[in-house]
Amino acid sequence: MQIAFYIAASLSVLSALVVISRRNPMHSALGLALVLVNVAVIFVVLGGHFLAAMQILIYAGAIVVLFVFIVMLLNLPDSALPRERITSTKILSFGLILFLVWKLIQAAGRRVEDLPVLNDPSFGEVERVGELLFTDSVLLFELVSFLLLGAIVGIIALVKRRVA
Amino acid sequence: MTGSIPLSHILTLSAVLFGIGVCGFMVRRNALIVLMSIELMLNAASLSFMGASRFLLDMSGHVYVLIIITVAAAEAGVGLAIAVLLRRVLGTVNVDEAKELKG
Repeated sequence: MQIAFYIAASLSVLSALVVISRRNPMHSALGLALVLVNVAVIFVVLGGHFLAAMQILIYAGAIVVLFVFIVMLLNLPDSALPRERITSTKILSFGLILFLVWKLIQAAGRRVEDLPVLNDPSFGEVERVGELLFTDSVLLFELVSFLLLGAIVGIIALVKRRVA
Repeated sequence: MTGSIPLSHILTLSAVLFGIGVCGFMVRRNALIVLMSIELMLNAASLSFMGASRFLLDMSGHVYVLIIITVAAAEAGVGLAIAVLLRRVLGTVNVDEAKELKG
């Protein structure tokens, strides 16, 4: 289990670098799929079997497919891809991001305790997640349905308008 | 079974993935890759939730990860609709050229 975590962690970091460094958006989309699958492996290591399945089904199965679909629909030739220039603002923001990550890693390094042993066999199972979702977090659940409705209406309103 | 992974390693991985996501968001000009960077950041957040949930043996974090996945789906849908509009109106997906936000 421990070795699976470290393999999946390094693969996810490598494929995340692929996502942000490729010029072709299709390569980035495939890199994103790899990141999501590796994060799902880490979810399994952390005992979240139901969420790992959801991650694969919804994220890698629906969202990434939507990305691939849009990349193919837009059919961007190499000349239409934006020219990526290195400006002083970008270098400055890169430095600030490095500082942010360094601080986050420093903060993370304070919690050196190992994960406790998992004795509960129902941890991460769908029944437990559903129980919490429909009791403690039921307001959140209802709000998310409004969010999805808003997203549907927004997407239709955006794309349906005819452009001259 | 997973007793030998320290929490700090999970949080460090989450921080690194988040940093890569912010980096892509700031540096890239292709709208599609900017959206993918947002997905990376959301994934880093859900990884933190899962790690904390496992560390505290409390499953509330799993509910939030489920909500994050839903929010990511809604965000990707709206973002990609905007990318399609950008391509239709401007002929490019360069976010720097989308200056007039009039729909």
